[in-house]
Amino acid sequence: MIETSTLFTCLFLVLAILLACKSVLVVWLLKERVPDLVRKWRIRHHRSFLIVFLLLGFLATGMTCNQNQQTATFNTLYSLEKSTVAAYDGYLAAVLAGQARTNEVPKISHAFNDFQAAMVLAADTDQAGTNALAPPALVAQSADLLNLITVAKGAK
Amino acid sequence: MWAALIPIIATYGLPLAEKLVEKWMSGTPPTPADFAELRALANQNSTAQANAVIAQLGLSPTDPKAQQIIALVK
Repeated sequence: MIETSTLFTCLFLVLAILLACKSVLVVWLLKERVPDLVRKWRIRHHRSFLIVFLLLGFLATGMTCNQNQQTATFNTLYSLEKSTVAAYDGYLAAVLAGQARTNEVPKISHAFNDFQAAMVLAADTDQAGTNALAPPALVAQSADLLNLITVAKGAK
Repeated sequence: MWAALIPIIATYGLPLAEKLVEKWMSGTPPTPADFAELRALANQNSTAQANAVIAQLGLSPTDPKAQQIIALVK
């Protein structure tokens, strides 16, 4: 008998693979066939990226459902923090290397600071043992920031 | 798990993904040191992060590019 949690994990797995394949296919098709629509693709691609990113959060929580809630939330927060900081560092490095424009730096930096402030609060809440889930708003903030960075990097 | 990790590996590289897998698979409850690490990371604002990136790239803080970035991230 398959456990329900295993079934859901498999479902998320299949959905995430399909979304990743769709993103790759859309990139290829638009770049090869309809270059004028590349800009439009970016919007679609970001939407897919956002969904994959949200799935990551669900997966991280689902994979750790045999652990206690504090551990699961910590792992989700840690993953979000590491991914977001790595993306921001990569963006700044690209700007310094002249591979991305400076126009969006203030906006992205402001969003980064907001995310960091929210992360400190979330970490405090988790450590206090409230058994709270990772705040969906924080996951969305991170996804929005990654989208901004992807757009800014692609705009050069 | 791999479906979630593949985009991360593609975007940020294998070392980060490895570290995340290690965290997820360990199953041990987070220690105060783990929380301190997370909080230390989260306490880095945009200016601190920009300074770290400038140092990683081997640029001098007096470099015009570095100064421009520092001014922009504030």
